[in-house]
Amino acid sequence: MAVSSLSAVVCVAAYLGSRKSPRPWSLDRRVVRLLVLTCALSLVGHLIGATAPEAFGWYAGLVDGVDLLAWAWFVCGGLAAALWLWGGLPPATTRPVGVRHLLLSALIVLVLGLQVWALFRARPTMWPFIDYPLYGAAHRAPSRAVHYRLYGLTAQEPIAFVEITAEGLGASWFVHHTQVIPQLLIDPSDVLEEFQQTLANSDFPPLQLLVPERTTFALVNSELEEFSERQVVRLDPDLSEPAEARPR
Amino acid sequence: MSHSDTTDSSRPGSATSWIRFWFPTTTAVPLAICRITLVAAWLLLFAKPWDQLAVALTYDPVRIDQALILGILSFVPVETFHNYEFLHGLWLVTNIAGVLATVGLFTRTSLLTFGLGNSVLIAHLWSYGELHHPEALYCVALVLMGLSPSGRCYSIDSWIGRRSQYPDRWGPEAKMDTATWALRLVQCLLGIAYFSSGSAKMLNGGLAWWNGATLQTIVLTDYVRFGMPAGLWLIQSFWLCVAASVTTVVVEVFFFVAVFTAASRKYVLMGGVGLHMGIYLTMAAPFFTWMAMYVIFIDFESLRRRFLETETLVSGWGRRRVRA
Repeated sequence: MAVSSLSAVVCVAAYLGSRKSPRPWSLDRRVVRLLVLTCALSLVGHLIGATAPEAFGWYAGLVDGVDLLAWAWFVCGGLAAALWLWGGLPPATTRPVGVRHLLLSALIVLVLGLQVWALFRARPTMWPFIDYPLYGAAHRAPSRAVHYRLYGLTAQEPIAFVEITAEGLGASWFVHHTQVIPQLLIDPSDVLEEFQQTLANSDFPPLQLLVPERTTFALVNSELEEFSERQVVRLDPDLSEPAEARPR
Repeated sequence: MSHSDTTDSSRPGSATSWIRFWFPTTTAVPLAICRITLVAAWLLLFAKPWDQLAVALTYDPVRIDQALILGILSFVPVETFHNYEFLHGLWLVTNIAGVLATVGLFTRTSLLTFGLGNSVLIAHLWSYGELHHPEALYCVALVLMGLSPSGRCYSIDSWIGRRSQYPDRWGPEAKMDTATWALRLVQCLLGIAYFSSGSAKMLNGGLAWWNGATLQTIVLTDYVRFGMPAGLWLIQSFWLCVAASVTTVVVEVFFFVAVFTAASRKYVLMGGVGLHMGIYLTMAAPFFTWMAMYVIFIDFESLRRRFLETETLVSGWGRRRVRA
Protein backbone atom coordinates (compact mmCIF):
# COMPACT_ATOMS: atom_id res chain seq x y z
CA MET A 1 0.00 0.00 0.00
CA ALA A 2 2.87 2.32 0.88
CA VAL A 3 4.54 1.65 -2.45
CA SER A 4 1.29 2.25 -4.27
CA SER A 5 0.88 5.57 -2.48
CA LEU A 6 4.42 6.58 -3.38
CA SER A 7 3.86 5.54 -6.99
CA ALA A 8 0.62 7.50 -7.02
CA VAL A 9 2.40 10.71 -6.05
CA VAL A 10 5.10 10.20 -8.70
CA CYS A 11 2.57 9.22 -11.38
CA VAL A 12 0.36 12.21 -10.77
CA ALA A 13 3.37 14.55 -10.83
CA ALA A 14 4.66 12.94 -14.03
CA TYR A 15 1.24 13.02 -15.69
CA LEU A 16 0.68 16.69 -14.84
CA GLY A 17 4.19 17.52 -16.04
CA SER A 18 3.85 15.66 -19.34
CA ARG A 19 0.52 17.32 -20.30
CA LYS A 20 2.15 20.71 -20.65
CA SER A 21 5.35 19.66 -22.40
CA PRO A 22 5.82 16.02 -23.52
CA ARG A 23 8.89 14.48 -21.87
CA PRO A 24 10.54 11.06 -22.14
CA TRP A 25 8.93 9.63 -19.01
CA SER A 26 8.76 5.90 -18.61
CA LEU A 27 5.65 6.43 -16.50
CA ASP A 28 2.85 6.56 -19.04
CA ARG A 29 -0.71 5.25 -19.30
CA ARG A 30 0.42 1.67 -18.75
CA VAL A 31 1.79 2.48 -15.32
CA VAL A 32 -1.25 4.57 -14.45
CA ARG A 33 -3.44 1.55 -15.25
CA LEU A 34 -1.14 -0.68 -13.23
CA LEU A 35 -1.25 1.79 -10.38
CA VAL A 36 -5.05 1.91 -10.38
CA LEU A 37 -5.16 -1.90 -10.39
CA THR A 38 -2.61 -2.09 -7.59
CA CYS A 39 -4.42 0.43 -5.43
CA ALA A 40 -7.75 -1.35 -5.99
CA LEU A 41 -6.23 -4.75 -5.21
CA SER A 42 -4.45 -3.36 -2.15
CA LEU A 43 -7.66 -1.83 -0.86
CA VAL A 44 -9.67 -5.00 -1.41
CA GLY A 45 -6.82 -7.08 0.00
CA HIS A 46 -6.63 -4.98 3.14
CA LEU A 47 -10.42 -5.12 3.63
CA ILE A 48 -10.46 -8.89 3.19
CA GLY A 49 -7.36 -9.25 5.35
CA ALA A 50 -9.01 -7.28 8.12
CA THR A 51 -12.15 -9.45 8.09
CA ALA A 52 -10.72 -12.92 7.38
CA PRO A 53 -6.92 -12.87 7.43
CA GLU A 54 -6.38 -16.64 7.07
CA ALA A 55 -8.93 -17.46 4.38
CA PHE A 56 -7.51 -15.07 1.78
CA GLY A 57 -3.78 -15.33 2.39
CA TRP A 58 -3.08 -16.08 -1.30
CA TYR A 59 -4.90 -12.91 -2.29
CA ALA A 60 -2.64 -10.77 -0.10
CA GLY A 61 0.34 -12.45 -1.82
CA LEU A 62 -1.05 -11.47 -5.22
CA VAL A 63 -1.48 -7.89 -4.06
CA ASP A 64 2.09 -7.85 -2.77
CA GLY A 65 3.29 -9.18 -6.14
CA VAL A 66 1.50 -6.45 -8.06
CA ASP A 67 2.75 -3.91 -5.54
CA LEU A 68 6.31 -5.06 -6.23
CA LEU A 69 5.70 -4.62 -9.94
CA ALA A 70 4.51 -1.07 -9.30
CA TRP A 71 7.63 -0.54 -7.19
CA ALA A 72 9.81 -1.63 -10.14
CA TRP A 73 8.01 0.87 -12.38
CA PHE A 74 8.50 3.52 -9.73
CA VAL A 75 12.24 2.90 -9.76
CA CYS A 76 12.33 3.04 -13.58
CA GLY A 77 10.55 6.37 -13.30
CA GLY A 78 13.19 7.63 -10.86
CA LEU A 79 15.97 6.62 -13.20
CA ALA A 80 14.24 8.12 -16.23
CA ALA A 81 13.75 11.35 -14.30
CA ALA A 82 17.42 11.45 -13.33
CA LEU A 83 18.53 10.77 -16.92
CA TRP A 84 16.22 13.51 -18.14
CA LEU A 85 17.51 15.97 -15.54
CA TRP A 86 21.22 15.28 -15.76
CA GLY A 87 21.74 13.40 -19.02
CA GLY A 88 23.07 9.86 -19.29
CA LEU A 89 26.52 8.40 -19.65
CA PRO A 90 28.85 9.99 -22.18
CA PRO A 91 29.63 7.90 -25.28
CA ALA A 92 32.89 5.95 -25.15
CA THR A 93 35.32 4.28 -27.50
CA THR A 94 35.09 0.51 -27.47
CA ARG A 95 37.05 -2.27 -29.13
CA PRO A 96 35.63 -5.47 -30.70
CA VAL A 97 34.23 -8.01 -28.26
CA GLY A 98 36.96 -10.48 -27.30
CA VAL A 99 37.26 -13.55 -25.11
CA ARG A 100 38.40 -11.33 -22.26
CA HIS A 101 35.23 -9.25 -22.53
CA LEU A 102 33.10 -12.38 -22.52
CA LEU A 103 34.86 -13.80 -19.47
CA LEU A 104 34.65 -10.51 -17.59
CA SER A 105 30.99 -10.16 -18.59
CA ALA A 106 30.33 -13.64 -17.19
CA LEU A 107 32.07 -12.61 -13.94
CA ILE A 108 30.02 -9.40 -13.75
CA VAL A 109 26.77 -11.31 -14.26
CA LEU A 110 27.87 -13.90 -11.66
CA VAL A 111 28.68 -11.25 -9.03
CA LEU A 112 25.47 -9.30 -9.66
CA GLY A 113 23.49 -12.55 -9.69
CA LEU A 114 24.99 -13.67 -6.37
CA GLN A 115 24.21 -10.29 -4.79
CA VAL A 116 20.63 -10.25 -6.05
CA TRP A 117 20.13 -13.90 -5.04
CA ALA A 118 21.45 -13.09 -1.55
CA LEU A 119 18.71 -10.47 -1.15
CA PHE A 120 16.01 -13.14 -1.38
CA ARG A 121 17.55 -15.74 0.92
CA ALA A 122 16.03 -16.39 4.31
CA ARG A 123 19.41 -16.37 6.13
CA PRO A 124 22.54 -14.37 5.22
CA THR A 125 24.91 -17.31 4.86
CA MET A 126 26.70 -16.26 1.67
CA TRP A 127 28.94 -13.55 3.15
CA PRO A 128 30.18 -11.24 1.58
CA PHE A 129 26.99 -11.43 -0.51
CA ILE A 130 24.31 -10.56 2.03
CA ASP A 131 21.03 -8.70 2.20
CA TYR A 132 20.66 -5.28 3.84
CA PRO A 133 17.26 -5.10 5.53
CA LEU A 134 18.74 -2.61 8.00
CA TYR A 135 16.17 -1.53 10.60
CA GLY A 136 13.35 -2.61 8.25
CA ALA A 137 10.65 -3.16 10.87
CA ALA A 138 8.27 -0.34 11.80
CA HIS A 139 7.49 0.46 15.44
CA ARG A 140 4.57 2.19 17.09
CA ALA A 141 4.60 4.71 19.93
CA PRO A 142 5.52 4.68 22.75
CA SER A 143 9.15 4.02 21.87
CA ARG A 144 10.83 1.44 24.09
CA ALA A 145 14.27 -0.12 24.29
CA VAL A 146 15.68 -2.86 26.50
CA HIS A 147 19.27 -3.03 27.70
CA TYR A 148 20.90 -5.91 29.56
CA ARG A 149 23.77 -5.69 32.04
CA LEU A 150 25.48 -8.23 34.26
CA TYR A 151 27.07 -7.58 37.66
CA GLY A 152 28.94 -9.91 40.00
CA LEU A 153 29.59 -9.72 43.75
CA THR A 154 33.18 -10.62 44.62
CA ALA A 155 33.74 -13.59 46.93
CA GLN A 156 36.86 -12.19 48.59
CA GLU A 157 37.73 -8.85 50.21
CA PRO A 158 37.13 -6.15 49.19
CA ILE A 159 33.51 -7.24 48.66
CA ALA A 160 32.12 -5.16 45.79
CA PHE A 161 29.96 -5.35 42.70
CA VAL A 162 31.84 -5.47 39.39
CA GLU A 163 30.28 -5.21 35.94
CA ILE A 164 30.93 -8.30 33.84
CA THR A 165 31.40 -7.08 30.29
CA ALA A 166 31.82 -8.95 27.02
CA GLU A 167 35.30 -7.43 26.61
CA GLY A 168 36.33 -8.65 30.06
CA LEU A 169 35.25 -12.18 29.15
CA GLY A 170 36.85 -12.01 25.69
CA ALA A 171 33.40 -12.74 24.22
CA SER A 172 31.23 -11.14 21.57
CA TRP A 173 29.02 -8.23 22.70
CA PHE A 174 26.18 -9.64 20.61
CA VAL A 175 26.28 -13.10 22.21
CA HIS A 176 26.78 -11.69 25.73
CA HIS A 177 23.91 -9.19 25.58
CA THR A 178 21.36 -11.01 23.45
CA GLN A 179 21.89 -14.61 24.55
CA VAL A 180 23.86 -15.07 27.79
CA ILE A 181 22.42 -12.32 30.05
CA PRO A 182 18.76 -12.82 28.98
CA GLN A 183 19.19 -16.55 29.61
CA LEU A 184 20.72 -15.89 33.05
CA LEU A 185 17.76 -13.66 33.83
CA ILE A 186 15.04 -16.03 32.60
CA ASP A 187 16.38 -19.51 33.33
CA PRO A 188 19.94 -19.49 34.72
CA SER A 189 20.20 -23.27 35.20
CA ASP A 190 20.58 -23.84 31.43
CA VAL A 191 23.73 -21.76 31.00
CA LEU A 192 25.11 -21.29 34.50
CA GLU A 193 27.72 -24.07 34.52
CA GLU A 194 29.12 -23.11 31.10
CA PHE A 195 29.14 -19.42 32.03
CA GLN A 196 30.89 -20.10 35.33
CA GLN A 197 33.64 -21.92 33.45
CA THR A 198 34.03 -18.94 31.10
CA LEU A 199 34.17 -16.67 34.14
CA ALA A 200 36.81 -18.85 35.83
CA ASN A 201 39.02 -18.69 32.74
CA SER A 202 38.78 -14.89 32.56
CA ASP A 203 40.56 -12.19 34.58
CA PHE A 204 37.56 -11.50 36.82
CA PRO A 205 38.07 -12.18 40.57
CA PRO A 206 36.16 -15.13 42.13
CA LEU A 207 32.49 -14.23 42.49
CA GLN A 208 29.77 -15.44 44.86
CA LEU A 209 26.73 -13.92 43.15
CA LEU A 210 25.65 -12.88 39.68
CA VAL A 211 23.07 -10.15 39.19
CA PRO A 212 21.69 -10.01 35.63
CA GLU A 213 19.75 -6.78 35.05
CA ARG A 214 17.23 -5.79 32.39
CA THR A 215 16.49 -2.07 32.08
CA THR A 216 13.56 -0.92 29.96
CA PHE A 217 13.77 2.64 28.65
CA ALA A 218 10.57 4.32 27.44
CA LEU A 219 10.10 7.69 25.77
CA VAL A 220 7.07 9.33 27.41
CA ASN A 221 6.20 12.92 26.38
CA SER A 222 9.73 13.43 25.02
CA GLU A 223 11.18 12.41 28.40
CA LEU A 224 13.19 9.22 28.92
CA GLU A 225 11.87 6.99 31.71
CA GLU A 226 13.48 3.74 32.85
CA PHE A 227 12.78 0.82 35.15
CA SER A 228 14.99 -2.14 35.99
CA GLU A 229 14.41 -5.81 36.81
CA ARG A 230 17.10 -7.91 38.52
CA GLN A 231 17.67 -11.53 39.39
CA VAL A 232 20.15 -12.90 41.93
CA VAL A 233 21.98 -16.06 40.87
CA ARG A 234 24.18 -17.92 43.36
CA LEU A 235 27.38 -19.42 41.99
CA ASP A 236 28.85 -22.82 42.78
CA PRO A 237 32.12 -22.12 44.68
CA ASP A 238 33.70 -25.33 43.26
CA LEU A 239 33.44 -23.99 39.72
CA SER A 240 34.91 -20.58 40.54
CA GLU A 241 38.49 -21.68 39.92
CA PRO A 242 40.09 -22.20 36.50
CA ALA A 243 39.62 -25.73 35.12
CA GLU A 244 43.34 -26.61 35.41
CA ALA A 245 43.46 -25.52 39.11
CA ARG A 246 40.46 -27.64 40.12
CA PRO A 247 41.10 -30.97 41.99
CA ARG A 248 40.29 -33.95 39.78
CA MET B 1 36.44 8.10 -15.77
CA SER B 2 37.14 9.69 -19.11
CA HIS B 3 35.56 8.64 -22.35
CA SER B 4 36.19 9.44 -26.00
CA ASP B 5 33.44 10.45 -28.40
CA THR B 6 33.02 7.53 -30.79
CA THR B 7 31.05 4.31 -30.57
CA ASP B 8 31.18 1.03 -32.49
CA SER B 9 28.00 0.71 -34.62
CA SER B 10 28.67 -2.83 -35.96
CA ARG B 11 27.19 -4.51 -32.88
CA PRO B 12 23.57 -4.74 -31.72
CA GLY B 13 22.48 -1.83 -29.52
CA SER B 14 22.32 -3.83 -26.29
CA ALA B 15 25.84 -5.26 -26.78
CA THR B 16 27.19 -1.79 -27.57
CA SER B 17 25.54 -0.37 -24.48
CA TRP B 18 26.92 -3.24 -22.40
CA ILE B 19 30.46 -2.75 -23.72
CA ARG B 20 30.19 1.03 -23.43
CA PHE B 21 29.07 0.75 -19.84
CA TRP B 22 31.54 -1.86 -18.58
CA PHE B 23 34.52 -1.67 -20.94
CA PRO B 24 35.16 1.89 -22.15
CA THR B 25 38.71 2.64 -23.26
CA THR B 26 40.26 4.79 -20.56
CA THR B 27 43.33 5.07 -18.35
CA ALA B 28 43.90 3.13 -15.13
CA VAL B 29 44.27 6.32 -13.06
CA PRO B 30 40.90 6.07 -11.21
CA LEU B 31 41.46 2.37 -10.54
CA ALA B 32 44.98 2.96 -9.20
CA ILE B 33 43.90 5.82 -6.92
CA CYS B 34 41.01 3.71 -5.64
CA ARG B 35 43.46 0.86 -4.97
CA ILE B 36 45.79 3.10 -2.97
CA THR B 37 42.97 4.80 -1.06
CA LEU B 38 40.88 1.75 -0.23
CA VAL B 39 43.76 -0.58 0.71
CA ALA B 40 45.52 2.06 2.83
CA ALA B 41 42.22 3.04 4.50
CA TRP B 42 41.53 -0.60 5.35
CA LEU B 43 45.01 -1.16 6.77
CA LEU B 44 45.04 2.05 8.81
CA LEU B 45 41.40 2.53 9.80
CA PHE B 46 39.04 -0.34 9.11
CA ALA B 47 41.02 -3.57 9.65
CA LYS B 48 39.82 -5.57 12.63
CA PRO B 49 42.56 -6.18 15.21
CA TRP B 50 43.69 -9.77 15.62
CA ASP B 51 42.17 -9.98 19.14
CA GLN B 52 38.73 -9.31 17.69
CA LEU B 53 39.16 -11.90 14.91
CA ALA B 54 40.46 -14.46 17.43
CA VAL B 55 37.17 -14.33 19.40
CA ALA B 56 35.74 -16.69 16.74
CA LEU B 57 38.21 -19.37 17.87
CA THR B 58 36.37 -19.62 21.21
CA TYR B 59 33.21 -20.87 19.45
CA ASP B 60 32.33 -24.43 18.49
CA PRO B 61 33.19 -24.93 14.77
CA VAL B 62 30.08 -27.12 14.41
CA ARG B 63 28.10 -23.86 14.36
CA ILE B 64 29.86 -22.50 11.24
CA ASP B 65 27.14 -21.50 8.76
CA GLN B 66 28.80 -19.26 6.14
CA ALA B 67 29.03 -20.92 2.71
CA LEU B 68 32.52 -19.47 2.07
CA ILE B 69 33.97 -21.10 5.20
CA LEU B 70 32.07 -24.34 4.66
CA GLY B 71 33.52 -24.42 1.13
CA ILE B 72 37.05 -24.03 2.52
CA LEU B 73 36.36 -26.72 5.12
CA SER B 74 35.59 -29.18 2.35
CA PHE B 75 39.28 -28.91 1.37
CA VAL B 76 40.99 -28.03 4.66
CA PRO B 77 40.35 -30.17 7.78
CA VAL B 78 38.45 -28.26 10.46
CA GLU B 79 41.21 -28.95 13.04
CA THR B 80 43.69 -27.20 10.76
CA PHE B 81 41.46 -24.24 9.89
CA HIS B 82 39.85 -23.56 13.27
CA ASN B 83 43.23 -23.14 14.86
CA TYR B 84 45.13 -20.17 16.31
CA GLU B 85 48.32 -20.72 14.26
CA PHE B 86 46.52 -21.15 10.93
CA LEU B 87 44.27 -18.10 11.26
CA HIS B 88 47.05 -15.95 12.74
CA GLY B 89 49.30 -16.95 9.83
CA LEU B 90 46.53 -16.05 7.38
CA TRP B 91 46.09 -12.69 9.12
CA LEU B 92 49.83 -11.96 8.87
CA VAL B 93 50.00 -12.94 5.17
CA THR B 94 46.92 -10.82 4.45
CA ASN B 95 48.42 -7.74 6.08
CA ILE B 96 51.77 -8.14 4.33
CA ALA B 97 49.86 -8.47 1.03
CA GLY B 98 48.00 -5.28 1.92
CA VAL B 99 51.24 -3.32 2.30
CA LEU B 100 52.49 -4.69 -1.06
CA ALA B 101 49.17 -3.82 -2.72
CA THR B 102 49.37 -0.23 -1.42
CA VAL B 103 52.82 0.37 -2.87
CA GLY B 104 51.93 -1.67 -5.95
CA LEU B 105 54.42 -4.51 -5.92
CA PHE B 106 53.07 -7.73 -7.51
CA THR B 107 49.89 -5.70 -7.39
CA ARG B 108 47.39 -8.18 -8.83
CA THR B 109 48.55 -11.09 -6.66
CA SER B 110 48.98 -9.04 -3.50
CA LEU B 111 45.61 -7.28 -3.85
CA LEU B 112 43.81 -10.56 -4.57
CA THR B 113 45.50 -12.16 -1.54
CA PHE B 114 44.57 -9.14 0.58
CA GLY B 115 40.92 -9.16 -0.54
CA LEU B 116 40.45 -12.92 -0.25
CA GLY B 117 42.32 -13.11 3.07
CA ASN B 118 40.13 -10.45 4.64
CA SER B 119 37.01 -12.08 3.18
CA VAL B 120 37.91 -15.42 4.79
CA LEU B 121 38.85 -13.91 8.17
CA ILE B 122 35.69 -11.84 8.46
CA ALA B 123 33.42 -14.55 7.04
CA HIS B 124 34.83 -16.82 9.77
CA LEU B 125 34.11 -14.19 12.43
CA TRP B 126 30.49 -13.89 11.24
CA SER B 127 30.01 -17.67 10.95
CA TYR B 128 28.56 -18.17 14.42
CA GLY B 129 25.25 -16.32 14.32
CA GLU B 130 26.49 -12.73 14.66
CA LEU B 131 26.77 -10.70 11.44
CA HIS B 132 27.49 -7.06 10.64
CA HIS B 133 27.18 -5.30 7.32
CA PRO B 134 29.87 -2.60 6.88
CA GLU B 135 32.77 -4.75 5.65
CA ALA B 136 31.05 -7.05 3.14
CA LEU B 137 31.05 -4.78 0.07
CA TYR B 138 34.50 -3.46 0.90
CA CYS B 139 35.92 -7.00 0.74
CA VAL B 140 34.16 -7.63 -2.59
CA ALA B 141 35.63 -4.34 -3.88
CA LEU B 142 39.16 -5.39 -2.86
CA VAL B 143 38.84 -8.74 -4.63
CA LEU B 144 37.41 -7.14 -7.79
CA MET B 145 40.20 -4.56 -7.90
CA GLY B 146 42.63 -7.45 -7.53
CA LEU B 147 41.18 -8.90 -10.73
CA SER B 148 41.67 -5.58 -12.57
CA PRO B 149 44.82 -3.84 -13.83
CA SER B 150 45.00 -1.58 -10.77
CA GLY B 151 48.79 -1.65 -10.70
CA ARG B 152 49.21 -0.20 -14.21
CA CYS B 153 50.06 3.23 -12.76
CA TYR B 154 51.13 4.80 -9.48
CA SER B 155 52.86 1.56 -8.43
CA ILE B 156 56.28 -0.04 -8.23
CA ASP B 157 55.09 -2.48 -10.91
CA SER B 158 54.42 0.49 -13.18
CA TRP B 159 57.87 1.99 -12.46
CA ILE B 160 59.45 -1.34 -13.43
CA GLY B 161 57.08 -1.77 -16.39
CA ARG B 162 58.03 1.57 -17.93
CA ARG B 163 61.60 0.33 -18.11
CA SER B 164 60.54 -2.95 -19.74
CA GLN B 165 59.95 -4.05 -23.34
CA TYR B 166 56.46 -2.42 -23.51
CA PRO B 167 56.70 0.93 -21.69
CA ASP B 168 53.53 2.27 -23.34
CA ARG B 169 51.39 -0.27 -21.45
CA TRP B 170 52.27 1.29 -18.09
CA GLY B 171 51.78 4.66 -16.46
CA PRO B 172 48.93 7.18 -16.23
CA GLU B 173 48.75 7.74 -20.01
CA ALA B 174 48.35 4.05 -20.95
CA LYS B 175 44.81 3.32 -22.17
CA MET B 176 42.92 0.04 -21.78
CA ASP B 177 39.35 -1.23 -21.79
CA THR B 178 39.53 -3.29 -18.59
CA ALA B 179 40.13 -0.47 -16.12
CA THR B 180 36.50 0.46 -15.49
CA TRP B 181 34.41 -2.68 -15.04
CA ALA B 182 35.51 -3.36 -11.46
CA LEU B 183 34.71 0.18 -10.32
CA ARG B 184 31.36 0.11 -12.13
CA LEU B 185 30.54 -3.26 -10.57
CA VAL B 186 31.26 -1.95 -7.07
CA GLN B 187 29.10 1.10 -7.85
CA CYS B 188 26.26 -1.25 -8.89
CA LEU B 189 26.71 -3.36 -5.75
CA LEU B 190 26.55 -0.25 -3.58
CA GLY B 191 23.40 0.83 -5.42
CA ILE B 192 21.83 -2.60 -4.86
CA ALA B 193 22.80 -2.57 -1.17
CA TYR B 194 21.27 0.86 -0.58
CA PHE B 195 18.19 -0.07 -2.58
CA SER B 196 17.83 -3.29 -0.58
CA SER B 197 17.95 -1.30 2.64
CA GLY B 198 15.50 1.39 1.49
CA SER B 199 13.03 -0.98 -0.13
CA ALA B 200 13.10 -3.29 2.94
CA LYS B 201 11.93 -0.37 5.03
CA MET B 202 9.09 0.33 2.61
CA LEU B 203 8.12 -3.30 2.01
CA ASN B 204 8.37 -4.43 5.66
CA GLY B 205 7.30 -1.31 7.48
CA GLY B 206 5.38 0.60 4.81
CA LEU B 207 4.40 4.17 5.52
CA ALA B 208 4.52 3.31 9.22
CA TRP B 209 8.30 3.50 8.88
CA TRP B 210 7.87 7.24 8.48
CA ASN B 211 5.73 7.62 11.61
CA GLY B 212 8.58 9.08 13.69
CA ALA B 213 8.12 6.49 16.44
CA THR B 214 10.06 3.95 14.37
CA LEU B 215 13.18 6.11 14.18
CA GLN B 216 12.74 7.11 17.82
CA THR B 217 12.75 3.43 18.83
CA ILE B 218 15.74 2.58 16.62
CA VAL B 219 17.81 5.50 17.92
CA LEU B 220 16.70 4.86 21.51
CA THR B 221 17.85 1.22 21.27
CA ASP B 222 21.32 2.33 20.25
CA TYR B 223 21.32 5.26 22.68
CA VAL B 224 20.97 2.94 25.67
CA ARG B 225 23.93 0.95 24.40
CA PHE B 226 26.30 3.66 23.18
CA GLY B 227 24.99 6.79 24.91
CA MET B 228 25.41 9.17 21.96
CA PRO B 229 24.15 12.62 23.15
CA ALA B 230 22.95 13.52 19.62
CA GLY B 231 20.77 10.40 19.73
CA LEU B 232 18.99 11.56 22.89
CA TRP B 233 18.51 15.01 21.32
CA LEU B 234 17.06 13.48 18.14
CA ILE B 235 14.54 11.18 19.81
CA GLN B 236 13.13 14.10 21.81
CA SER B 237 12.20 15.90 18.59
CA PHE B 238 9.35 13.98 16.93
CA TRP B 239 9.08 15.93 13.67
CA LEU B 240 12.83 15.82 13.15
CA CYS B 241 12.56 12.02 13.37
CA VAL B 242 9.80 12.05 10.73
CA ALA B 243 11.94 14.23 8.41
CA ALA B 244 15.02 12.06 9.00
CA SER B 245 12.98 8.90 8.22
CA VAL B 246 11.77 10.27 4.89
CA THR B 247 15.27 11.51 3.94
CA THR B 248 16.80 8.14 4.82
CA VAL B 249 14.44 6.18 2.57
CA VAL B 250 14.73 8.63 -0.34
CA VAL B 251 18.56 8.61 -0.23
CA GLU B 252 18.71 4.82 0.03
CA VAL B 253 16.14 4.04 -2.65
CA PHE B 254 17.54 6.49 -5.22
CA PHE B 255 21.26 6.05 -4.53
CA PHE B 256 21.56 3.85 -7.63
CA VAL B 257 20.87 6.91 -9.81
CA ALA B 258 24.50 7.94 -9.12
CA VAL B 259 25.69 4.84 -11.00
CA PHE B 260 24.04 5.88 -14.26
CA THR B 261 24.13 9.67 -14.21
CA ALA B 262 27.51 11.22 -13.52
CA ALA B 263 26.10 14.70 -12.95
CA SER B 264 23.86 13.52 -10.11
CA ARG B 265 26.77 12.03 -8.19
CA LYS B 266 27.74 15.01 -6.10
CA TYR B 267 24.16 15.40 -4.81
CA VAL B 268 23.62 11.70 -4.20
CA LEU B 269 27.00 11.23 -2.52
CA MET B 270 26.48 14.30 -0.34
CA GLY B 271 23.13 12.78 0.66
CA GLY B 272 24.91 9.51 1.47
CA VAL B 273 27.61 11.21 3.54
CA GLY B 274 24.96 13.19 5.43
CA LEU B 275 22.99 10.00 6.07
CA HIS B 276 25.98 8.05 7.39
CA MET B 277 27.30 10.91 9.50
CA GLY B 278 23.83 11.36 10.98
CA ILE B 279 23.63 7.63 11.72
CA TYR B 280 27.08 7.70 13.32
CA LEU B 281 26.41 10.77 15.48
CA THR B 282 23.05 9.52 16.74
CA MET B 283 23.49 5.74 16.75
CA ALA B 284 27.27 5.17 16.67
CA ALA B 285 26.83 2.81 13.70
CA PRO B 286 30.15 3.12 11.82
CA PHE B 287 29.48 2.87 8.10
CA PHE B 288 32.76 4.65 7.28
CA THR B 289 33.69 1.79 4.96
CA TRP B 290 30.76 2.68 2.72
CA MET B 291 31.68 6.36 2.75
CA ALA B 292 35.28 5.43 1.85
CA MET B 293 33.91 3.46 -1.10
CA TYR B 294 32.38 6.65 -2.51
CA VAL B 295 35.91 7.27 -3.83
CA ILE B 296 35.02 4.92 -6.71
CA PHE B 297 32.52 7.50 -7.99
CA ILE B 298 35.12 10.27 -8.34
CA ASP B 299 36.39 10.98 -11.86
CA PHE B 300 40.10 11.09 -11.06
CA GLU B 301 41.07 11.07 -14.75
CA SER B 302 39.31 14.40 -15.35
CA LEU B 303 40.86 15.84 -12.20
CA ARG B 304 44.32 14.72 -13.35
CA ARG B 305 43.85 16.28 -16.79
CA ARG B 306 42.61 19.51 -15.24
CA PHE B 307 45.63 19.52 -12.92
CA LEU B 308 48.02 18.92 -15.87
CA GLU B 309 46.38 21.73 -17.90
CA THR B 310 46.70 24.14 -14.98
CA GLU B 311 50.33 23.14 -14.50
CA THR B 312 51.08 23.71 -18.22
CA LEU B 313 49.37 27.11 -18.14
CA VAL B 314 51.24 28.17 -15.00
CA SER B 315 54.63 27.04 -16.36
CA GLY B 316 53.96 28.78 -19.74
CA TRP B 317 52.98 31.98 -17.96
CA GLY B 318 56.16 31.77 -15.79
CA ARG B 319 58.38 31.34 -18.89
CA ARG B 320 56.76 34.35 -20.59
CA ARG B 321 57.36 36.49 -17.48
CA VAL B 322 61.03 35.41 -17.34
CA ARG B 323 61.45 36.31 -21.06
CA ALA B 324 59.77 39.70 -20.55
